[in-house]
Amino acid sequence: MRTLLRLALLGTAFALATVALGWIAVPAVGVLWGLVSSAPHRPALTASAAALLAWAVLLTWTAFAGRLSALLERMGGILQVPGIILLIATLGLAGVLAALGALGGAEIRRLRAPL
Amino acid sequence: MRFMRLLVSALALVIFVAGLSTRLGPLPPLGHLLDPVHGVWAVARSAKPVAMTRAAIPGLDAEVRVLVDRRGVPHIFATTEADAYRAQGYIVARDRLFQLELQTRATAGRLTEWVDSVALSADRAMRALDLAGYADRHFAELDTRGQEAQALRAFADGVNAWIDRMRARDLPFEYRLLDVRPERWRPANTFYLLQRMNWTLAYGQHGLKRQRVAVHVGGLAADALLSSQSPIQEPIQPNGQDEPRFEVAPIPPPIVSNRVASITDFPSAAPPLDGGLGSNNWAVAPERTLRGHAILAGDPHLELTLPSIWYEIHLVVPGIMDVYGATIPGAPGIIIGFNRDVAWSFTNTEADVMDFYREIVDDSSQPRSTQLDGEWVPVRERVEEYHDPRGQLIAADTFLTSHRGPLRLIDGDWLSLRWTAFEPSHTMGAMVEAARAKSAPEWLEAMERFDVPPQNTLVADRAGTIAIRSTGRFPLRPGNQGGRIVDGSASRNDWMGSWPVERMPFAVNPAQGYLASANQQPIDPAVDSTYLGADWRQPWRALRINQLLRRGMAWTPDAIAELQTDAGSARADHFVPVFLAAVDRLKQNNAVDPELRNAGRRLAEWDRRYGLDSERAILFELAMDELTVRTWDELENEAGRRIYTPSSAALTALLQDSVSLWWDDQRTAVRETRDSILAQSLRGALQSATERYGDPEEGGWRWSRVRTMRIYHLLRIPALSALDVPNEGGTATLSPMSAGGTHGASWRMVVELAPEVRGWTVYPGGQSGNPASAFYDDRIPQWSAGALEPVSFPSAPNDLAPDSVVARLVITPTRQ
Repeated sequence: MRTLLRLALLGTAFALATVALGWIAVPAVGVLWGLVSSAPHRPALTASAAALLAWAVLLTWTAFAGRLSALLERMGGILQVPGIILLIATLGLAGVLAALGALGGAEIRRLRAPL
Repeated sequence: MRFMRLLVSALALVIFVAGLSTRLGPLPPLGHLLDPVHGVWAVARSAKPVAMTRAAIPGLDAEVRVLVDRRGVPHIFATTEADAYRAQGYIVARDRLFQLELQTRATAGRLTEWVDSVALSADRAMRALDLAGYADRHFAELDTRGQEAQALRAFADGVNAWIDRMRARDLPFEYRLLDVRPERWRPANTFYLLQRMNWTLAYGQHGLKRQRVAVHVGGLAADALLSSQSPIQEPIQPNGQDEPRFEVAPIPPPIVSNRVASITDFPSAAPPLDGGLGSNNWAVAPERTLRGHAILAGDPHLELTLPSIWYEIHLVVPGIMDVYGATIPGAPGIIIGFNRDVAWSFTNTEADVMDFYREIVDDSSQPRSTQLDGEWVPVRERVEEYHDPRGQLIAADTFLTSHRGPLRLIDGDWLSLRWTAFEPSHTMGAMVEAARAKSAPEWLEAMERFDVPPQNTLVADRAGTIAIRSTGRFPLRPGNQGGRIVDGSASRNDWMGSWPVERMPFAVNPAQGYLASANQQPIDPAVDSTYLGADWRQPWRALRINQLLRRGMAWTPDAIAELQTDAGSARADHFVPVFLAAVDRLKQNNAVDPELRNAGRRLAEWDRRYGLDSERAILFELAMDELTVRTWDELENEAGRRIYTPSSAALTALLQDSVSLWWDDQRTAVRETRDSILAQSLRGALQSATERYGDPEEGGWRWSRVRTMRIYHLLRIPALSALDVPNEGGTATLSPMSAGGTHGASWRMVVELAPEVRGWTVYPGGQSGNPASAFYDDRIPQWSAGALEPVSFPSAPNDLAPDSVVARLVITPTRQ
C-alpha cells in the first residue's frame, strides 16, 4: 500500500513538473527522488514507473481533450512506424529520464552517507 | 569507486539530456518534440474546436462575435470594417499560421532559414526578382489613412493578437517539426502574397522565350509558334459568332541553327502547365435559367496543397459589408465570393505584362550604369545574404537593378526586366471596396483600380446583370509590338502607359445570354488587334464551356455545378479524329501494321470523356505526349532538353500542313510526314500504356488508377498529404488535372442571384491547417465526387441554427 501511495505521489510530482516546466523537469524530479528516497532499493525503478505513469495520464488526458489518434496516424506516417510505437517511445523516454535522474540522485546520497 | 559511479550516472544523464535537446538530422530535438504537454502531442488538443472561447485584440473598436459552422467556416459579426479584418486576421492565423509565414518567407527568399540549403535555389530566384523589396516599397507608398492601408494594418493586428496569446499547445505542427517559432506579421506581408500571385500568374517571360525559339528555329517560326493571335477564336468578349472560329496560319519551317540557346531563365519560372494551371468562370443570364435568376460559377485552377490556398469565411458589418467566399490566407476580405447582391469570380488573363530590355552597359563584366538616350543612368547594387537555421551565412549574391528593374546577364546580353508587378498596386484596395458593391456596375467601377495580376473579372447581380472585363494594368507598347527583347538604350521603346478601362475586353448582358472565360484570348483580334499577349495556350476549356452553355436554356444551380466537373474534352474532340484519320489514310495505302490497327481501334472505342472508369483516356494522353516529343524535336538543345514546348493550339495549326519540315524527326534517317508521326505516336502510346499499365482488357488502364490528384502538404510530407485522389477530368477538361496531378480546381463555387442569394462551394482540403483536425482535409471526398455543399449565409448570429454551430468566439477590446 505504501509503495502504491509513494508511486502515486511521485507520479503526481512528475506530472505537475512536466506541466509546469516541460520534459526537462523529469530528470530533475528524478534526481530529487534519488536524493530523498527512503527506499533503500531501486529508487530508479520507482522513479521510472512513476514518470511513465505520469506521462501516460497526461497523454490520456490529451486523448480525451483532443484528437490524439488522428495525430498518431499522421506522426506514424511521417516516421513510417505504427503510431503506437511513438506512444511507447514517449512513455519510455519519461521512464529513462526519471531513472537516470534517480540514479544520479541516489549516487549523490551515497556519496554523502558515512562509509 | 563511489565517485566513479556518480560520475558515470551523471555523465549518462547529461549525454541523454543533451541528445534529446539536439537536432538529429531532419528531426527536431526529441525531448521537446515528445513532451506530452508542450510537445507535438499538444497539437492533438488544439485540433478540437472549443465550444466557447474568449479572446482580446488590442485596438478593437467593439466586441466581435465569431461563429464557426459545421463546415468549419467562421462567420464574423463586427460593428466596423476594421474590426472585421482584425477578427479575420486572428481567425486565419489560428487556423493557418504556418501557411501565412511560409508563403511570406517563400516570396522573401528566406526559406533557407527554416530548411537550410535545400531551399537555396528557390530563395535565389525570389531574391533575384526582389519581390519582397518591391512589396515593402509598395506598402510604404500607400496612403496611410486610406482604406487599403487600414485594412492591411487591421488584419496584421489580428494575426499578431493570435501570435501573442497563443498557448504552447497552439503552436502549429510544422513549427514543431522544423523547430522554429513564428515571426510577427507585418502589414506589408499581404503585398508579399500579392507578389507571389504575380509570379505564379503573370511571369510569362514571352520576350525571352521568343528570343530563344528564334535562335533555335528562326524568327518567323518563333513568331508563329508564340503568336499573339490564337488559332482558335472563342473570345471572352463575345464576337457575335455562334461557334468558334479556327483561323489557322501556317507555321514556317524551322531553320535549325548551330547556336545552342541557353535555358537560363530570368530567373526560373514555374514551367507552363497546359493541364492544371488556369481557371474557369461563367455566368448565365436570367433568361437562360429555370428560375429566372442569374447564376455565376467559378473555379480557379492552381496548385493543390494541404492546407489549401483558399480559406472560406463570412464577414458581416451591418449596413456596410456582408460578404462570403474564399480568401487567400494573408489577405483581408474576400477574393472570390458573393454578398447579398453581387457574386464574382476570376480567371487569369494570361496577358503579357513584362518586357525585357537589352541594355548598353558601361562595363560588361561589372556594370555600374546603363545608357538611356545617350546619358548614363546608375545601376543599383544589392547584396543578398542567405542564412541557415542556425543563422550561419550559407551564400551571398550581388544583384543589379536598372532604372527599369532587375538587370541580369542572359545568353551574353545584359537584360533588364520591366514588369507591372514592380509598380505600386491597388489590387487589395479594389478588392476591399468591391466587396461592398450593391450591383454589378458598382462592382466593376470598384474593380477599375485592380491592376495586378490581370484577371478576367466576372460579375453577376440580383437585378440579372452579368458582365465580364479583362481587368489589369496592360502595357501599351510602341508600335504595338510585344513579346520581344527591346532595345533599352532609347526611352522611346518604353511603355507608353497602359490600356484605359474603356478599352479593356468587356461585355455586359450579351445577346447570347451567358459569359464565360477560361484563359483564352480575351478579345478577337478581328475586333481589336492591340497586343495583349502571346502564346495563348488554352483554348480548349473555353470551347467546351461555350459548347455546353449554348445548348441549355433552363439552367439550374445543380446543372451548372455539374458542368464544373464535366468530363468531356474539346481537345480530345479535336485530336482523336486527327489520329484516326491518319490511321485511315495509312490503311488506304496499306501502310498499317497490326499494332497500329490495334491502337487505332482502341482509340476509336473511346467516348472522349475522362470518366473515372474510362479505359482509353490514358491512351490518348500518352499519344499526345508522344506527338509532342516527336514533333518538336527541333526545339531540343544539345543536352536533349526542349527549350520551349509549343501548345496543343499551335499543333492544331501545324496539322494543316501534312509535309511540313516540322514533322521530320531529325534523329532518324528518313523524312517523316504528319501521318507517319501521328501513327508513330499512337503506336508508341499503345506500347507505353501496355508496358506501364498492362493489358488494356485487364482494368489496369482505368483513369482513376493511372491518373490521380496528388495534393501535397506545403512541406511535401507524404503522410500529411492526400495522394491518389480521383478526379473526373484530365488535361484541358473543365476539372483539369496537370500531368503530375498537382494542379487542378482549387475552389469551386456556384451562386444563384435570387432575391435570397444562395451559394454552394467546395475545395480540395479543409479549413484547418492542423493535420490532426477533422477540418484538415474533410472536403476532399466531396471535391473528388464533384459535389458542392450549400453554404450558411446568416445575416445575424441568431440566424445560424444553434445545432449548426461548432464553436463560438467572443473577441473583446483590450486596453493598449
